Amino acid sequence: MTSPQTMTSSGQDVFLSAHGLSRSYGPIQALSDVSVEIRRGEVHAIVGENGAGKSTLMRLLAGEERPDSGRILIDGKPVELGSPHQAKAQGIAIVHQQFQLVDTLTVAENIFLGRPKRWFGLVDRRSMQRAAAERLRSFGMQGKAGVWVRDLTVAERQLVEIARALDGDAKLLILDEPTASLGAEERDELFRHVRRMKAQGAAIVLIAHNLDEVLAISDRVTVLRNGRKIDSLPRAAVDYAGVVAMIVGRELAHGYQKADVPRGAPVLTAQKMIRSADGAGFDDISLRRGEIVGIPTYVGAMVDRTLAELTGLRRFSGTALSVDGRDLSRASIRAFIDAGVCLIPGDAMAEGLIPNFSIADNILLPNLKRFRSAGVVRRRALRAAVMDLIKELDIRPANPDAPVRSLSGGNRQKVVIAKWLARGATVYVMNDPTKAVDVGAKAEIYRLLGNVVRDNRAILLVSSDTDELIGLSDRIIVLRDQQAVAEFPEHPADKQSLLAAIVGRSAESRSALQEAPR
Amino acid sequence: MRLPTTLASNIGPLIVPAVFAVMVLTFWSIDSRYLSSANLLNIMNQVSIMMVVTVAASLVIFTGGFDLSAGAVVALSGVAASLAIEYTDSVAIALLAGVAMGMLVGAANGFFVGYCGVSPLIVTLGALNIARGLALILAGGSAMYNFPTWFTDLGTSRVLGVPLLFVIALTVFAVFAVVLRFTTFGVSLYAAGGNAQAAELSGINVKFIRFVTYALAGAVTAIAGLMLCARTGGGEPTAGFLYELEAIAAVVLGGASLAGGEGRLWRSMVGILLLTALGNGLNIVGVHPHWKGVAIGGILVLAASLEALRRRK
Repeated sequence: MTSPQTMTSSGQDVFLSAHGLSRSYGPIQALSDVSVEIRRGEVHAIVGENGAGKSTLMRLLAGEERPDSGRILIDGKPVELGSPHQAKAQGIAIVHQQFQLVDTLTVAENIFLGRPKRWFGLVDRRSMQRAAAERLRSFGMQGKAGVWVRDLTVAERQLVEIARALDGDAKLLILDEPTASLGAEERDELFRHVRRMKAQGAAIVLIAHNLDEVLAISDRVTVLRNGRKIDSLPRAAVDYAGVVAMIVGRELAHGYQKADVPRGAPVLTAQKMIRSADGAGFDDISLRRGEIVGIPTYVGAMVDRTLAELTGLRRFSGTALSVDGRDLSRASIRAFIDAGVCLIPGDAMAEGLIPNFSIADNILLPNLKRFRSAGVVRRRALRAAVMDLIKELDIRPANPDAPVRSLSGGNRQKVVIAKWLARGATVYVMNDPTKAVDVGAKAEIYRLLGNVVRDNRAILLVSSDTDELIGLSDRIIVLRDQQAVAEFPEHPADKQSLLAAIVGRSAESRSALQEAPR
Repeated sequence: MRLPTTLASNIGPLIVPAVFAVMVLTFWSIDSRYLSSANLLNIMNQVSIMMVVTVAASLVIFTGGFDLSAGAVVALSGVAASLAIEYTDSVAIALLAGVAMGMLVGAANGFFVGYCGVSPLIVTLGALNIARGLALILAGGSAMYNFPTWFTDLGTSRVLGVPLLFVIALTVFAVFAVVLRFTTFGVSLYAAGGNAQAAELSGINVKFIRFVTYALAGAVTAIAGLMLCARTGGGEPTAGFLYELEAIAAVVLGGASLAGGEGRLWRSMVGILLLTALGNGLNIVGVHPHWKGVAIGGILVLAASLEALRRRK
């Protein structure tokens, strides 16, 4: 490693350099001792798994959060990026994955949101419109300045976000998963603009999930893993396989061991919902008792629709869906629940629980019939059952009357699972159940999942954590927008090929990308 | 960090009773007639009908909605009952007609809010205008004092020294307090208001719960309309003006969240009692009635602000 002084003095082209950045969230060390150099006229890609620290690094660079330690230099001079405003003053702009545009305002109004042009204290619409139009022209969006944002396509919105971020003299543009919601043409369009900005001397930092895209457009690639920097290399020095190897690392999946449970009869089968990998036909999804089937979720995977169809939230698109022989292809949520299918959402407080209800009342909700006589809740029976569950799942505090909003993330998730154990559900569809819990709680939830399948139940585990998927799943299906990309029928799945399946696009789009840069 | 929070959450429910106590003591010290048995009877008479309307408002607000049509439904159900008297001469049929009319309006509200997903503000604002208009049309624009005197005598009669209307109001309150507290319907109602998404995923039919709640609220409001008939002698198309806002104010004073899922029926009752006792007290101490609205508004904003501050901690 060269010292910071020589790095900045040796290259005039270094715009920003970060040294030893660390940041933790509670017990989770999101970023530890990461140093990077961002150069003018370069597209610098930051890659890594979910949770590798990409977004945290971006937030630090954009002044949205402060590092616990480490420093940031711009043009060799130490700077304090304590707020997005300060970062902006330094010429740093960030475009987030989620759109932050106001749908009910025009494009021009959005671009100048919060800092409208004024004329004697009044909003000067005409000059705003003119300035916006000028900025939009370079994005090929002529005549769109006066259009409502809600009438734009997704790609156009993305461009408006960038136009807004490029407040005149942005020197560093940070793009967080800019292609996630774009089609191939829109993506190529966006990349053209990125290359143009690069040619004009801007530094561009790109977080992207899709490695093909990253390799097609970047000049430098930095790989993060578990919050640490693995390496930072010029594009010419890396290839696809090499980057995947760096992302994966050598350590094996550890700690998450799926209990050895014999697999029983199929409990859920969904026919012709998923297109097969070759695109020619359809695959069936089937789930057997005692089995955990893993589905990775990642930016662009769009597995939510599949989940919604398998739990009755959305109309089933395949030919037949049956659970324990019962046909559910046109059934309501309540019929799914009656058949033993339950959805365990990732965000317990938003979708899984009634925050101001007690543990007992939350467990009661799906079990009204069980704890009811003549319309009245049988409190004593409920309490006894809840106490048993609290003991079985080790929910803390062990008080049925504690409101769930006072519980920790891990305990909230346990209450959600307890609801369905009480109901006797047999198919547990879980949407990233450990996303919002800390490491200790994760281990407990894994143990709990082991108990769930041991009693002849089945789990469909959607997760953004590949280690978790590999450790827990009997088999893994990689989906992208209702199409099977790859299947790993063995346990444990090979991490390298699993990640390759997650980060790669289909063959056609890969070749299209390689033609694109010219 | 922990102690002040628990302290605040323990004090929170006591804010309104404390304001209440201070208010009562103030009026009493100015004029001791305020706590005389005659005036207490007077307050009971005044509060009974609003108590029933407040029960209805509470049900709807606990599911995360609200009902602006309550005052108009009070009038419309009274007019419907009077019409039934005119055609059948039967008080029993009149009472049924009144309750059925209220339930019909409530069910329509519930249908549009629950099943069509229209904002309760819009739906019940529309229902307010329609119900008020229908009341005027059906009554031909003027009051119909056609109930028999034995029925109107009930409106002023007492049971063990307590006004009958107050007993009825207490009964309605007790019934729904039990329903909310002990039945699975009560649990579902709070769940629908607390987190509709989670409730739906737990198998609660949130749309149906909303529908039933509005329909029930309409029926309960109609009971208030019939109680008013017992006081006045028949349907008045202009009766119940702004009752809905006073009831909503009472529920908010009771600490319920307008977002739904939170609130206790007895605390709503304390709220409406406070508002009524305030109006009565101002009257007793000789403040011009025009000031009543100012005082009610002030107390409402004050209590709600204290509640918001408490929650923020």
